[in-house]
Amino acid sequence: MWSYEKRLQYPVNITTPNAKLAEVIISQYGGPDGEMGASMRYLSQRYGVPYPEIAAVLTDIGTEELAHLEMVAAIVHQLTKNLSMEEIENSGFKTYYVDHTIGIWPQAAGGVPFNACEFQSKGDLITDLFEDMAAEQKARTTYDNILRLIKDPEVCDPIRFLRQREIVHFQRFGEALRLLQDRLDPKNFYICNPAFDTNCGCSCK
Amino acid sequence: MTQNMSEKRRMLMDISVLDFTTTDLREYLDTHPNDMDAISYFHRYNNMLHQVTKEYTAKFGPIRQNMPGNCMDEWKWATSPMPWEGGAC
Repeated sequence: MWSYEKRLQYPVNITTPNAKLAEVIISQYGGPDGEMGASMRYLSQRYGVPYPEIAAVLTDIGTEELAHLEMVAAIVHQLTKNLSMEEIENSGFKTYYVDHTIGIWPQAAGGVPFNACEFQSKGDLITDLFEDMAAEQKARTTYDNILRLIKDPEVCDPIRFLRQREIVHFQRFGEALRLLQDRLDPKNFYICNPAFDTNCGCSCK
Repeated sequence: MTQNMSEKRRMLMDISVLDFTTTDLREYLDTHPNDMDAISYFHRYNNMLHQVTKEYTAKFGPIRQNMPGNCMDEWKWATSPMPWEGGAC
C-alpha cells in the first residue's frame, strides 16, 4: 500500500509560462521513457522475485518514480496555467489544448498516448533488470535532450534533479543484478529463469 | 507574516533535505543491507526527519496523510493548498 505526502520531492516554482517547453516535458509524464512507465515497470516486476533485497529495490525506486511523476506534472501545470490564447495558438501546444485544455494527460512529446507497451515486465529477473538499467539510461538521455531546449533556470533546476536520480537508480539496478548473479551458476547465468524455475542450479532462497 | 513565510520555507527545505537523504539511503541499503554505518546514518536522519515533520505539522498544517495534526476546528489536510499551487513545495 501507499501513503501520500502533501509536498513535492523537490521544489517546483516556475513563474513564467512556456507552452513550447510544456509540449516536450509532457513526454516524461506519459512518453516511452517517462516516469509513469518507470513506476509501473518496477512495481509490476516485483511479484516473481525470489530475493527480498531485489524486490525492495524495485519497490523503493518504483515508489520514488511516483514522486517524480508528480513533479513532472507540476512542471507542466505551472508552464501552462497562465498562458494567453495567443501563446497557445502560436505554439505546438494547441493540438494538446484542443483535447485536454491544460489538464494533465499522459502522452509523448509527439502526441502518442501512453500505453502499457511502454513498460516491460518479462517475468525473468535477469531480463527485467537489464531492461531497468536501460530504462534509466533512456530517461537520462531524454532529460539531457530536454535540458538542451531549456533556457529558464526555474525549469532547469527540477529537471536536473530528475536527471541525476536516473543515474543513481541505474547504479542501484546494476547492484541488484550483481546480487542476483552472485547467487546463480557462474558457469551459465542463463541456464534457468530465477523468477520461474525451481532448482536454478544455485543456492536460491 | 514575512518572517512566518520564511520559517515555513526553511522548515520545508529541512524536510526536503532529510527526506531526500533517507530516500537515497533506503535505496542504497536495499542493495547493501549489511552496511552498519549506513544503517546508523539512516536512523539518525530518519529521526531528525520525523521530529521536524512533527514540528512543521504543529505550526503550518499537515503534509503527511498519517500525521493530521492537532487542529480540531478544521480539516487542514483538505483546506491547505496543493503542493503545485504554492502549498508545501
